[in-house]
Amino acid sequence: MDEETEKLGEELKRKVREVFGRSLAIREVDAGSCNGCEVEVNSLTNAIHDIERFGLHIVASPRHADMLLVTGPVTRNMEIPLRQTYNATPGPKMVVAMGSCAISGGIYRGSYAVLDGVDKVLPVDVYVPGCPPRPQAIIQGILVALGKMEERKGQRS
Amino acid sequence: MFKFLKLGVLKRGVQTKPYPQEPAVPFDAFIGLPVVDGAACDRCSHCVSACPVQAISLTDEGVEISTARCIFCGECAEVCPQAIKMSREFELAATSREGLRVVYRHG
Amino acid sequence: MTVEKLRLIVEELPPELYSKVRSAKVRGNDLRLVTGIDDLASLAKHIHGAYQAPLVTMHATDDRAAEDCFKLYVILSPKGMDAFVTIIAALEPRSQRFVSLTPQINEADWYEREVQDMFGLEAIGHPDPRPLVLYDDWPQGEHPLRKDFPLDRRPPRVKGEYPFTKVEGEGVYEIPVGPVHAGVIEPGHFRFSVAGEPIINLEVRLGYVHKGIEKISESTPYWRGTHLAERISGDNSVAHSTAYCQTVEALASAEVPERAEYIRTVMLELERIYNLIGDISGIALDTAFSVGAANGYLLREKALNLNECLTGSRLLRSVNVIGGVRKDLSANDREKTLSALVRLKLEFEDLVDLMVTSTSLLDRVETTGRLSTEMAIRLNVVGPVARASGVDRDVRRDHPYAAYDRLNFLVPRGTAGDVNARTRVKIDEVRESFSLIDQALDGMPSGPIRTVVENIPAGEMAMSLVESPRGELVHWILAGKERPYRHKIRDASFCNWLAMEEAVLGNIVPDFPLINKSFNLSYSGNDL
Repeated sequence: MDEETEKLGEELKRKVREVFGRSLAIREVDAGSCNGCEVEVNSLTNAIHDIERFGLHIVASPRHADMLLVTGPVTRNMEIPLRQTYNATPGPKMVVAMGSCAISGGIYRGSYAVLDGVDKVLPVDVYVPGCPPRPQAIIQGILVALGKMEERKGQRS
Repeated sequence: MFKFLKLGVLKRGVQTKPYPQEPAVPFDAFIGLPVVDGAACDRCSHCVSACPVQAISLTDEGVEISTARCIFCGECAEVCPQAIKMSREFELAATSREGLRVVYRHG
Repeated sequence: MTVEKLRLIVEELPPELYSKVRSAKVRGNDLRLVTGIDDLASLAKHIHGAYQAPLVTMHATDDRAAEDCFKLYVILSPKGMDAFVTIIAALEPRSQRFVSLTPQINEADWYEREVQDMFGLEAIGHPDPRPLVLYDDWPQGEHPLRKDFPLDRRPPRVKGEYPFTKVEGEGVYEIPVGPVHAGVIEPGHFRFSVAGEPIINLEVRLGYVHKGIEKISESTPYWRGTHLAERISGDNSVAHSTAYCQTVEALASAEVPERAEYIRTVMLELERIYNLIGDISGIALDTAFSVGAANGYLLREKALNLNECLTGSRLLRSVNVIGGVRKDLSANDREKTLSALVRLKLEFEDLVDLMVTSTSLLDRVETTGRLSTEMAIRLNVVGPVARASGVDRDVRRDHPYAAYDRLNFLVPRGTAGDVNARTRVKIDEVRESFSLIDQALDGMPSGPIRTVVENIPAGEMAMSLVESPRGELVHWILAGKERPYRHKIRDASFCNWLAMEEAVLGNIVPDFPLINKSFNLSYSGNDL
């Protein structure tokens, strides 16, 4: 690794550390996806992408989470569980809408059983396009979200 | 007991890819963001009707692609090979809906 | 040959049933019997029993505009024949009731509950008439698949409660799990009734990811439907889109170029490889066998990379198109695939060797989650799960499609029906897939990859079965104008969920994730 890449990696670690104190806990919520996005989220933890090296963890409960990674167009039947999950997540929290259907309803847009996107239900911080987004795109989305969180923290203090 | 060594764990070395420190380059075939060549576009709107999710619109400025709707299927590039190409661009995350509009100007 | 066999089915009907058949026609390999609604159950029961014909699908159509009635379709697949029997029965005009088949044919259970939800037709005598897909807060009298229900109507929520099965007794308690789970999986609700450690009852409540795909498809032109089919169950994109394309091609009586059939076969097997390697790694993960899991997921990532290298999509999307495939496989692609597969094979064998010799893993998987052969047949379980329980059924061999009739492969089978057997079957299927890809790449003829499919006659019906990594899935289309009038989709998971309720009985709760993983069912494909 050359000097510059090392610097970038350090920069990233610093960001995570500053905003969330060493680590960021992510809770993935499927709000009606076709399970393509789940394949890619699962890939995030494999040895190739290994998001744990940045202190990003996929956790088992919204109670432990700093960030909700929501996939799917939000079906009618998942709307209430999604709200409950959001309410169970302690603040400060972020919501990342992942995949085309989480942003706009995607191919299911306009159906009687879907609500056409996460931002109809929750405030969304970052949108990650893709159908499904490849793992690197998700990592980029999380980094964009971290930048945004830092901004907000700065505003409050 | 140390049978797992047989998997070549030591031989294989580090498998983790250094993204985001280094850019990730997808394969040539990868279907990423559609890119419109404004000069080659004759506003025939074939791409608009070919898009299964209505992600493309013709505006006064040029051609607008909504990455919010795009499902990266490649139908548009297929009906209009002269002006539309599926690029390998995938880093499209945005913090606002405004950031999900990609406009290709004419000329 | 098939036609004669199908004719024989009609001739062999007992006289009292024969007189009830109003018309019998053979179209291709499909025998279509029209009967009265009151005789549907007895006719279906006869064919189901006499020819050991499992229920392929059962669904309704709304024909009130043309014929002032609803119709029911029951499709059975007689054993040992590459043929189907479709029984069609029209309900009485303006009637919304029919006699339930479930008491006679056990596997009709969920199909009828679905018909009740989506069409508002009452199955009289159904043992469990609770709603399946539409929730307790869905208003009465709204049935999405009726033609007078617009696609974008979003009815208001009403108050209601879902009656779960109550198990009572000393020391029995309930554990509700879901819909938001601890792992990165899809949403569904599981309600365990537990006495001490062992599970004495499990009730699966699904429908959380119901997106109305069948309804969307009815307003989607055929060419666009492929993209929708790819998103029915994301990790089975090729299987679903192949089934969809084959159905539409059958409607138009179009011949797909041979090269396209071979390319489809390669893609279907690539999909099977990454799915099954994922399943096997998941089993390693759930038995806390981390080395195996880490290496397994590494292999899966390599398989996904190969997919992207060949098609541009890690999940093999935008491969199929009605009339063929979108992208050809070049000589270069062929070389890349072969060399990637050689390495993948070697590493896979090392992984398998590690897993099957690990006593700690075997201790967890052996005798866990047993599904007996009788139960598998009774519930009409499909796919690797059925084969691990000793059911000898594989659509690729029994109803060949794409290029499978020109390739050699074995259908692996187990007998024990436990998690171990399912893992072994999946391992063997990956090996067969490697060989199938090799053969398909070798035997691939040159030529065009796509043909134009036009003039899809309205009023025709066609069906296609495809063996997805999870088992057989069915697409059935009744053609309308430029789009399906009715599109019935049945994913493999729809058949297997009830089997899981059986397989977990007597197991301890901590083994449930493992059993669930060994079934690896799709929630999205089930709920649609």
